[in-house]
Formats: sequence, C-alpha cells, structure tokens
Amino acid sequence: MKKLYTTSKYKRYHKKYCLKLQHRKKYKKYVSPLKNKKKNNLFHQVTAPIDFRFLDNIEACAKFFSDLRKEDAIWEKNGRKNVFIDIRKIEKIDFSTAFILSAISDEFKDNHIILRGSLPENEECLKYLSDSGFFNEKYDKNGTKFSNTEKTEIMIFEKGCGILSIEHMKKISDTVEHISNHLVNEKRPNLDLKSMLKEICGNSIEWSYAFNQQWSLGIKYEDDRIIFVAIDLGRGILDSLYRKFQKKLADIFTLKSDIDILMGAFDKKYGSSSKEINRNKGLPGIKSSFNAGLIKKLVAVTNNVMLDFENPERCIKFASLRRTFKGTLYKWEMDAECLNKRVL
Amino acid sequence: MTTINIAKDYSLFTGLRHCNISEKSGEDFYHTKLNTAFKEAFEKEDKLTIILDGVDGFAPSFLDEAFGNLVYDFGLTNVKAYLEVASLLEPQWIDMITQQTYPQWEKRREKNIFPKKTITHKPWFRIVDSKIECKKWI
Repeated sequence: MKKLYTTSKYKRYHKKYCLKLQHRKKYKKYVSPLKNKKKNNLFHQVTAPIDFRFLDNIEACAKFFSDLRKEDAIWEKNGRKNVFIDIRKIEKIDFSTAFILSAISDEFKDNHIILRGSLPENEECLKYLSDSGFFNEKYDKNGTKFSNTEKTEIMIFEKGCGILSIEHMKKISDTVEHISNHLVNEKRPNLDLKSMLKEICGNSIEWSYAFNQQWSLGIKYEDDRIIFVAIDLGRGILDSLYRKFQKKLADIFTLKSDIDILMGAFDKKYGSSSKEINRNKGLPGIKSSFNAGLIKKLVAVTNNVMLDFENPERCIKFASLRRTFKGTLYKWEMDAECLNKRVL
Repeated sequence: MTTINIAKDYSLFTGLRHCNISEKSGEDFYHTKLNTAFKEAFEKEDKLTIILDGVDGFAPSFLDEAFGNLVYDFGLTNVKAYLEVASLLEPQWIDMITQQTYPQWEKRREKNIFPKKTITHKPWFRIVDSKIECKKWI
C-alpha cells in the first residue's frame, strides 16, 4: 500500500528522497569488458593451448573445449551473455580443431551467447581459421563485420539441425560425388559412403541429445587425399550406451577400461540406450566400412576416450575427468584406393 | 507378382529409422507403401518383390525398421513366404535383412515388444489369430 505523507516533516523528507533518486538515475557509461575485468570477479577468459591440434594434443584441447562450454565461462553484461576466448598464442592448429571451434561457435549463436576473443598472432593459424569460415558472421573490435569466406574447394562444411531432410540427403549425396571427382576425376555414386554418412548423422540426431539435434560434417580436400570430420556436441557414445547389469558387473570384474567398452560398442557387444534388440547397427557399420578399406585412418573421440582404429597403441583414455570431450567426433581419410573398395 | 521399386515408387533419397528424426524414414515407408502392398500380396497368395537398387544409399536403420515392422505385423513365416528383396548393386542389405532384421524382429513379436511409432499413422494391417485386421494398433 502506498504511504501517504500527510505531515510537513514527512513531505519534506519524501521530496528530498525523490530528488536524490532522480539524481542517482544516470545512464552508465559503456565500459569495455576487458577493462572491467578486475572489477568483476565473474569475468573469465578461456585460453587455448599453444599446440591447438585436437588429435595431437588431445587432453589440453579437450580441456579447452570443455572449459569453453561450461557455465562458468559465460560472463553476463547488460543482459547479454558473452564468452571470451584467448587464441592469441596458438602456433599450430588442425582441421578437427577449427571445425570443433566453428561448431561450438554455432552452438553459442543458437543459445544467444556472444563469442568474443582475440585473433591468433600466428598468421598461418589466422588464415586457417579464416578459411574454415570461423570468422563468418563475426565482427572485429571496431564493429566491422569480417568478410565471409565462401565455400572453397579446400574446406567444405555441411551442417544440419532438426530432422534429416531430403535437402540434407541431397547435399550429402552431392558431396560424396564431388569426392570421387576430386580423387579420380570421375563421378561415382559411392553408395557405401553415403550409407555411412547417413548413419553418422542419424546417430547424432537420435542419440546425442545435442542442442537442436545439430550435426556437422567437414571435408578438407588435399592433393591426393580427403579428410573428413563429423561431430556432434551431445552426450557422447559412452554416456548413451546401454549395458546390461550382468555385462556391467563383468566389465568391472575384468577391469575393462572405457577404451575396451567403446571398442565393444563398435563390435556390437552392447545395446543402444533404447534397449531394443534390433538396434545398434550404426557403430558396427562404421567399423565395417573401415575394415573393408572404404575409409582409412579412422579415429573416434567421445567422452574420455580416443580410439584410433589403425594404430590401437594410440588409443587414449583421458587422465582427468575434467578433460573430457562432451560429444562425438569421427575423423577419417579417403584416397583413390578407397573408392575401389566395397563393404561386403 | 507385384513389385515395388523404392527409388521409383517411393523416393530416390531414403532417410533414417523414424519419422521424428528424418524425412522418408523406414517407419514412413512401411506405413505408406509396404504394409498395404504386402497385405494385398498375402491375400492373393502372390509374391511381393521389393527392389532396392536405384536408391541413393540406404541407412541400415531405414531397412531394419521397414522390414522389421512387416515381420512384427505378419510373422516371419508369412514374410519369408510372400516377400522377396532384390538388389544386384548392394547385396549386403539382403544379408542384413535376412540374417539380422528378420530373427531380431521375430523375437520382438514373440516377446510382444511393440515397435516405436513416432507419428500417428492411418490404421494398418496385422495378422491376429490367422486373420488380417486393420486398425490403429498403437
């Protein structure tokens, strides 16, 4: 209920109080978040490792991506959510890293989070990021928009969200035909590769629980080979795997590591989380494509495990649980020889 | 003999398992084409042939859902008797359907584990006590 100031004493007091309030009400000056850093404890900048190659320096890079996507990394200013990254000092970067960074940037955009940060001092890294389209739809410190990198012959990114539409399938199909054109100067349908790509996208859409059911496929064309990277930023395979109680118990007693469990998922030893007996055809299908020679140098990274199918000695279980990769990444290569192979 | 060429009669591009994750899914193919065509073949005691060739790459989940639902609704014996799957270009799918999908879905049928339906479909056919019935089962 509103207080009525009836006596002169209180009327005076109220008048003074109102004037004071009016005086106080001033628009705050814009202070650059970087200058405001010390005043606000919540400001947090996530720094990238110098060797910013995901598959060669996996634990440090996984920690960077994990920190970047944590709630703590978000710094709220004037009702806007910001995340700051420091990539100034990076000296090496690879395709997988540029691709993950680009996917995370898209995820932030969908969540209305602004990604801010510095540019790499190393010119090669800067060019690599620019070619990958990372700076598309982003602004420099003066508020000028970076020029968009059009789809080049070097790197192509296909991204999708929601259900897998016919439009997406056509794009995948065109990309696959372009691959054979690049490798052997001849358009071939390569149905096995199309099947595998569909299944990877399907796994991401159905099981990853990524924001907006997002999936991304990146292709890098080199002289005599093509590098593929497919990622989703969801739960990861190990978190979505269903193991029967007896199997779980047996795994504990036989001291099975997460590497063996993930390998088991590719060998169809475990069911999918739907618990339906007819499921789990996607992961074994990817492995059989590799076994048949349709793809080479297959690497899968998910949660706290990196599986290298070609060099099992390179398989890694991350030492720290803080350094896990939330999502799933597949990387593989193809050359002209692969085009002659079939999955039987 | 009735023939369904998936590429010509349904779609050149086929999707994934369920309607809620992809267009032209296995679930959709079963409910829009395969169920009715098989019922007609079964009544006529005729063979239904499904041609896989010509489609722009199958996801295994598409085939599993489409042919698995058929086994669930009509039983493995009837499916084996009245259905033929043909493919010259990708014979591995025939192996997958006959060696994995058929027995796994027959097991589901015996255990009464209902297939997942992600959208509402028109009534469809199923054999119950050797009689064909048409209704919305789920």
